[in-house]
Amino acid sequence: MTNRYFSINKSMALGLVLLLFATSCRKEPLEIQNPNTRACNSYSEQFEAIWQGIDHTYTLWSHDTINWDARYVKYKPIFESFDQNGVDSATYVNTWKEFTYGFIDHHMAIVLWNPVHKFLVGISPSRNDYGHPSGYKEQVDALKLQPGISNYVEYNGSNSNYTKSIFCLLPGKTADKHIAYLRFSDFELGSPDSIPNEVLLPFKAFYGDSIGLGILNGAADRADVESIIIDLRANPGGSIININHLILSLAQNPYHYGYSRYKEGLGRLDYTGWMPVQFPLPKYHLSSPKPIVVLADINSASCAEMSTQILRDAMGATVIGERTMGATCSLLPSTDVAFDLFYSGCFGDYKIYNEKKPTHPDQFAYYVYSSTYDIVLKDYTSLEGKGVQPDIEVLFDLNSLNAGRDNQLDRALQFLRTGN
Amino acid sequence: MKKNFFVLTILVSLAACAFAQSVETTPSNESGQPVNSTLERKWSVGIDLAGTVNSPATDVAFMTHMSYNPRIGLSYGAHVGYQPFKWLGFRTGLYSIAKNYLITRTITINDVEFGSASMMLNTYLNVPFMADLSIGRKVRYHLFLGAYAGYWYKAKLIGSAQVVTIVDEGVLYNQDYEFNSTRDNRFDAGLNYGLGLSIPFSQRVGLNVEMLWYYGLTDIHKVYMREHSPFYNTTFLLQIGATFNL
Repeated sequence: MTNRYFSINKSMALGLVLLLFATSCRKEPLEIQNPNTRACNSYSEQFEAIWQGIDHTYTLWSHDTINWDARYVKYKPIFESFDQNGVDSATYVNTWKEFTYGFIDHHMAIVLWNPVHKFLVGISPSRNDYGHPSGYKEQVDALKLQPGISNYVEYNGSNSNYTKSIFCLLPGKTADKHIAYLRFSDFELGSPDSIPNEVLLPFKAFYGDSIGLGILNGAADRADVESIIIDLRANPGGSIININHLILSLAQNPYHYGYSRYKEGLGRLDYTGWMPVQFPLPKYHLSSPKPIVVLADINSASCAEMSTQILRDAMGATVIGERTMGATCSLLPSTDVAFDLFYSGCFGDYKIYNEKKPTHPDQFAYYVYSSTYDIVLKDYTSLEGKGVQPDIEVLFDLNSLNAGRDNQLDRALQFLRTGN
Repeated sequence: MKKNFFVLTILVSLAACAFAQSVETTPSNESGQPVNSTLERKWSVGIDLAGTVNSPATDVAFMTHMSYNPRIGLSYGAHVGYQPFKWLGFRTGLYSIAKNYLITRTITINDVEFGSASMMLNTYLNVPFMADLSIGRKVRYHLFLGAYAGYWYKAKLIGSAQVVTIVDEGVLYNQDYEFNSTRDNRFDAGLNYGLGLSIPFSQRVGLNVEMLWYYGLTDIHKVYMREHSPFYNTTFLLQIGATFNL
């Protein structure tokens, strides 16, 4: 009995000890500070804060292929050396450019402030290679003049500082038929009620008086308008809500664009499930489908690219011009609330975004502008970094525009008039 | 983890006390075998059904509006037992075990509460191997100590989320989870422990009621980033089963 009693207790004691040892085998959690509110007092702290924020809240890790951990290990001592030895502003900016170069998020911008050099500098890690050699501003200025539009039948243009938009009717296949042309420079229309009437004139001509509801008595739906050109060149996007009435009003059915998700956890690959991205059909839309051409180029970004994709996929539009930028995800940039709700995308000192100055100029500060949502198409492929490819490639030609000829618009008119 | 230690220590201590008291009074025959004739049969098989409560253990760090919460599920499976001594047996088996959890986040904006929730419904195939220390005559009381290994077999992701820019709020998703070989560690292993009792209905058939814990020691996420946050499951099972002595 004694031996048996001893063996039972011995077994139990051994089992218990092993159990207690084994339960301590779990790894301890990390100490990670909040990148949205972190105060930094040195170059290396600023580097660490931005890196940790990106590491845990960047939305497009699943698409990124660069070994960022190796990049971090390489650059960490460089920023630490800045603390010891100081750094001139050019080296500081270039080091940041080198470190961040290649993030696939084409919305991404990292805005930096330090109390030594005392200026804000913005870095767009994915855009260094993009844009026309002539530059975005030169392109916008040239397009604003619309030298390619000459023999119009009707014209309504707005060159206010709010948004640049143009509507005109151009000759169609026959003398009694027309092509409706609409160009708008961004998707920042906001509520139509809050927009100056001068800005609305081109939109009202195209969509009619109820542009917030779609097309109602606008030129787009007139019987003499046989086809439509939507010009989204150099359009950087804006609020995705405007796609509903500006683009879906040209459709016949609601449109399922694809799926979206955002971060859900500290891990790079911790995501929510895929949520459908659907655009409802506006109350008023084209009464019958019409041939549509979209003009797009490498400076068509974000909502402009999504619209290009929608017009082609849902409405059979032909895309003429260049591939688009590849900034096809969406974001909520402006408040702390968005960060706390999503823990994805933008973080840092929101005063830098909203007021172009840091909250504490005596500290190292930053604002990282980045996609909140990862958005993919219906087949789960991503256009991020790839853009929408044109059906007919016609490269932007600044010299042609300056000479009074818009080669891309000419190709669109030729296509709609001849079918080729 | 401290809570688990505490619960484990209490349970084991209670069981040890009960065991130590009862060994003095448990009748046995001359050969040291218990009077209960069912234990003369060394091999047994059984089937089990359980309700589970899985508690995820991970860190949210600065993501303070987000929390990982326990979630209930089901488990079922079959076991094989071997009883070389009257006080000591061994048990193994194959079980499908739900190790579910819920992720919620809530935030109040202008007195309006916004939030989202997503539920991971995970199914694991687990093979436990436990020592079964038991006492008692008619009704036998069991203490289980051991380990398990298994495989994260499948998962489903169900949830609602804030999609403020694109479509209406509260979009639901309900989809099979696609495992990511970079992120997901599908090998599962850890400790088993628990308490139970068995009631014989006849020489061949008995009823088991058990409380079991599956204490995961494998991080369900691989270390694919420098600043890795570990994630463990601890699953409680309230299990009922039938044992057939061979």
